[in-house]
Amino acid sequence: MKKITYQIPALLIITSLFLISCGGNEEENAVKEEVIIEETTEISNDHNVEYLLPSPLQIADLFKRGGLTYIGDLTNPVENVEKLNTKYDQKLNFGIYSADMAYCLMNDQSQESINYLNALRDLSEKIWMMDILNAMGLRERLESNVGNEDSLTYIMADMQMNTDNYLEENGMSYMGTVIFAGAWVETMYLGTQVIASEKNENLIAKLSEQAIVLDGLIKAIEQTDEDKEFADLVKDLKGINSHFSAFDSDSDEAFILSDEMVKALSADIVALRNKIIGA
Amino acid sequence: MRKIIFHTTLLILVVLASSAKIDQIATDCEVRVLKSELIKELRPDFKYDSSNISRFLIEDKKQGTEVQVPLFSTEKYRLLFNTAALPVDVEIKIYDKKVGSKNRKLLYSNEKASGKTIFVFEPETPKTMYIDYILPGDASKVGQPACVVFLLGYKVG
Repeated sequence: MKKITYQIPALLIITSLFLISCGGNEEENAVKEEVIIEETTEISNDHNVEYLLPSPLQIADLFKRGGLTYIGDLTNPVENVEKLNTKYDQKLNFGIYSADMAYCLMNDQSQESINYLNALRDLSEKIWMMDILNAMGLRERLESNVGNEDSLTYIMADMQMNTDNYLEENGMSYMGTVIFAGAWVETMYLGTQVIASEKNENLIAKLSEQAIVLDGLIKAIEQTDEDKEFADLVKDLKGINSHFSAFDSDSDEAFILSDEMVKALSADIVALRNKIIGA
Repeated sequence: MRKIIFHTTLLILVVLASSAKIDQIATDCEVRVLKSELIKELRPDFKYDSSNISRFLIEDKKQGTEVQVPLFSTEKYRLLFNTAALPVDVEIKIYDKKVGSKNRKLLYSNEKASGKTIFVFEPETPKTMYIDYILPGDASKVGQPACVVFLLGYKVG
């Protein structure tokens, strides 16, 4: 027994010292790296694939510059937040309300924006994100920058980064994908409704360009949804993706949806959006 | 009594030495710190859009990951990478098509920028891009955690 009691600490010390010394031998590493660079050329076929999604803010910004005008009663009323009882609905609607807040902010609707921020704060606590929006002092920053669109977009970019950091640090990155799905559906809804009220070629072009996002979004959800919790959502998104089937990612020509295609796309977007908000 | 003191001292040394190594590993991928270095490279012209952390465990053989990044053709982007948390050199290659596609064009490679840990790329004609990270195998570092932080910025106006 005595031998064992001596050996364990001794072994641990040797192991620890070995571990420490491994980290500091830069010269040895540099020699190895030279050899290694020679043998690495192409990624292998059994590689992992990850999908980066744009921020909802960038898409809202893109649509705004494409001519997305403000129509007051389009957004999802904040009162509906009380109806969201399942985590599934809360996560998706966090995205819906994020898009609505961005839409209001970009159109100088300051009180509406604050109302959506409050709804997001309620929801963030329900989906275990704690009160991260409050911790950022977001409300104060928004209030003191009302009317300054440039500052507001920087504030929202900060909000996006802090949310991404929080989700990443807490092993909840999958939730960012689901939130994005909600925000994407809502922004597409706003876009198609504005086009329905007044035809706008620029906005149709921006809407058409969303083809590059949807395929990655579907794959990103499928990749993380091990329990098939979002199988219905994926099915609906695949239905929407069929409207972009003529899009060729390898072509240099811009893909533009025809008026009929926009109408058909709009009908599916409305149906999915209504399903998410429980309308 | 002497034995107890001796053992206690040994144990403290072991714990201190082990925790020093654990701290080193834990801080190896401090995402906020690594991101904040990239944020400096965004300002003043670009805004944060999104980010991706690719995590690895070093193996004794080559490994790779491909990140699919949709970029809108009318926008201007800055793609930033921080590889400071990697214990081995990484090849970063950006292509116009996914791996295995015919006529896949290489748009960017960090090959000629050895010694750096921050890499920047601004595509002239944005479209969906495919970022490949290729990590070499290293038998002496098997199991060590590592990460590449990628941050995407876009220009407004």
